[in-house]
Amino acid sequence: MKVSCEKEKLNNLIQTALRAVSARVTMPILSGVLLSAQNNTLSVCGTDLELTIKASSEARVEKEGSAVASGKLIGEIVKNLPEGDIQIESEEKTLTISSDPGVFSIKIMSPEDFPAVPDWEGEEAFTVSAREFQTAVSQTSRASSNDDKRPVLTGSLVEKNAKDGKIRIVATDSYRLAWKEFEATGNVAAWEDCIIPTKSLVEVARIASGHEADIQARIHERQAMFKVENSTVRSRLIEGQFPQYRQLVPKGEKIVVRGVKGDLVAAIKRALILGHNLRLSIGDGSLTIRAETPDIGESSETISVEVQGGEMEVGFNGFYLVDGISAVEGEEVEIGLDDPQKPGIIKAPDDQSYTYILMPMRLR
Amino acid sequence: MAEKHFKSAGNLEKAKFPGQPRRVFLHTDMDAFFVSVERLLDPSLRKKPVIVTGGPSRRGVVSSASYEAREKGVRSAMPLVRALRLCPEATIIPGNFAAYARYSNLVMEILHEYTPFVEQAGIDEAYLDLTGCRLLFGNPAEVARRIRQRIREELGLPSSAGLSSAMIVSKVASALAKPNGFIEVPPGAEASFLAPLPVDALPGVGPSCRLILAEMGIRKIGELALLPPEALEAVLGSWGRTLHEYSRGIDRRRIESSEMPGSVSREMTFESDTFEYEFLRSVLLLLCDKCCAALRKGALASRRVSVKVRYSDFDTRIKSRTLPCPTDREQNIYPVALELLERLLTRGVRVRLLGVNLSALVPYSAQYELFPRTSPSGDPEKIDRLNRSLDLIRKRFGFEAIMRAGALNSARGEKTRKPPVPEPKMPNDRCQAAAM
Repeated sequence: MKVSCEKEKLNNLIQTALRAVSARVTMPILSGVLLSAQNNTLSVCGTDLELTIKASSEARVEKEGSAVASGKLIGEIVKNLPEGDIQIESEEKTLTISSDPGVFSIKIMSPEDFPAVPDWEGEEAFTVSAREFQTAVSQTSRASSNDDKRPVLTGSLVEKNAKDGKIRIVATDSYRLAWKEFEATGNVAAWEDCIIPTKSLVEVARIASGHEADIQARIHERQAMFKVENSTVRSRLIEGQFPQYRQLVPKGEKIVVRGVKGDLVAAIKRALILGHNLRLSIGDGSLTIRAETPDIGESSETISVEVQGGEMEVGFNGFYLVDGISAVEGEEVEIGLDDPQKPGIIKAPDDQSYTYILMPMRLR
Repeated sequence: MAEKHFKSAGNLEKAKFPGQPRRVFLHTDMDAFFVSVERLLDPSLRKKPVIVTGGPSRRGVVSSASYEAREKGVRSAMPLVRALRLCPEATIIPGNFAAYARYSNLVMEILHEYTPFVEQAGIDEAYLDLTGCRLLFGNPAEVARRIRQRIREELGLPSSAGLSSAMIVSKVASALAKPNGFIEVPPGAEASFLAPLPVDALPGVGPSCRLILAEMGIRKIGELALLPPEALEAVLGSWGRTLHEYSRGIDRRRIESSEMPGSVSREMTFESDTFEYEFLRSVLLLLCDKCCAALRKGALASRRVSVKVRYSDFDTRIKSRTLPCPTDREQNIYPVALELLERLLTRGVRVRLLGVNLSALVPYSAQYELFPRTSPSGDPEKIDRLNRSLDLIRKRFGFEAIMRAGALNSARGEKTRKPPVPEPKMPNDRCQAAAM
């Protein structure tokens, strides 16, 4: 293999592929990235077996071929090289990376040992704008769980509504649940509802950031596949049953609080300084947020809001509350409450596409 | 008159750490606690030799003996058969542990009236940090006298106490003061107070440690203090360094305010060192159970679990894990602790001590869940109800009144508390020595 590529482009390829390379690997080959040069294209691929990312770009290919080298090393080298053309050449046992002043030779591993690289296969399913997808992932991913003991909750449910041509992403950690629905084009009916690791969706959104392009998605052999311009992401699916979440949605809340998003978030963040179990007292046209930590101190702040329905005192984890409210698009937020022991619902007024459902905390 | 005072040389009065108030620690320990409680319940037992036998699992073993029985050579942890040979006229009483727990709580309530810095070290003993009490209650020795007087008059129970600048010294002093006595070791006299005592007067020095030290030719605490700390560390691991500090009357431990402690921990030293996995697992469950009961009592939840293993060669290892969210349920803590224990048990050496520590404490708060859990630990609402019921039962009838089946196995192995140092004859030259 002999190929040359501009530094900035090459660096992007490698950094993108490295997102899938884990710091601690079970097999040495997984610490490497696969470089392949073919048809005037250079592609770099990294994987941890769950998530595989292949990034490609045009390059001057003098000799086709492939090689696997330590992702960490090649990443460091390329990142630190000066602007300009970088030439990569593989020999039997080494990979030589040279730019004008310097030459680096590093050991390579056998490309045959590298896991299969994703090809863009399978039946066409939906296509969504990168911006739309990114918004949906950022609105939902924080509600996802990090607890490996409940693997299903570390993923997001991606389900179709073929009738309306819509896709919904749902995430929950069992204390809160968020969903976002967006318009999709293409053959939405071909999508199979599945649970995709939230980490994979975040990576797809990250790769798409800065692109105006579309994201194409499909399922192939029980793997989710995404394509953003020249990058392909393949993710394993999480097996298991996602919680039956539709029944949680309160059917008409007793109390509806409507306020300015920025004011609410700022007040909650201030309260969080003195404790994260917040006590919310909803009165006539006002919301009082109290925090208290024994031996440390307490705080209380009242902001004016629009209240329909009556009075209530309810406890919430302040961090969860901030996550839910700040993800609302637009200036206004609506909080629906039914009972201090039943879920509250956060959304933008007159917009059903984003919904955040949060369980209260028991007050003492 | 059992009150004893050590005089100290005036030039040693200067604080070791200028700018910091010198700490004052009181250790109070009930005298023959179980026997004393039995005598309250049945006054006819007074002045007679009485032996209380152990808990549910230790029927054949002496748990506590009255001083009349101790005079005949009866000691805690002694097989009952042997105790009866030494003292055939003794009255044998099966332990009424719920009553002991009740009286223990009453004692602790009195202690808490003087300072929030109370660390309960057993059913019948506690450390108090009286450093800040001088302005409120006056001279610490006077506070100690008043506390013992109140325990005697309000509860009818005798106790002993030790007062010094280090927890370890106060503990040794209170053991030496027994029965019904008080020893104050003034600042600067700690090392000279400890020096003439046998090494096993120091808590933590049991038979196997004593044997190791005896092989090095060390029998008195003073001899221990003269060794270079590295030598002790080489033989006993990190515990060796701590022990060396103890021998010189230095104790870095502090008492956290019981209102918001930094951590809750329970540990158990075994009767005999073991690597029997089932037993260790059972002990671990018991310790988790006890820690969580303590958390719930303080309305706290923990986000960090640590497990400590001390091997028979005193090598001590600790592993910790941070939880995704704070909890006060042993049902959530135990599986994590068990994983940590499994990762710790890699040496193939017998274990002499197992401990559980819960830290990163936050005030308890219950986050309701959206979906009932189908995980093995079950519905959290139900677990909380179960745990609250357990707490109520234990509050009335004592901790051992209701146990997890998995923890029953642990009951056989706990080392009984070291019997107090035999009542020494107090020759006058001891006071002289301490005053040097």
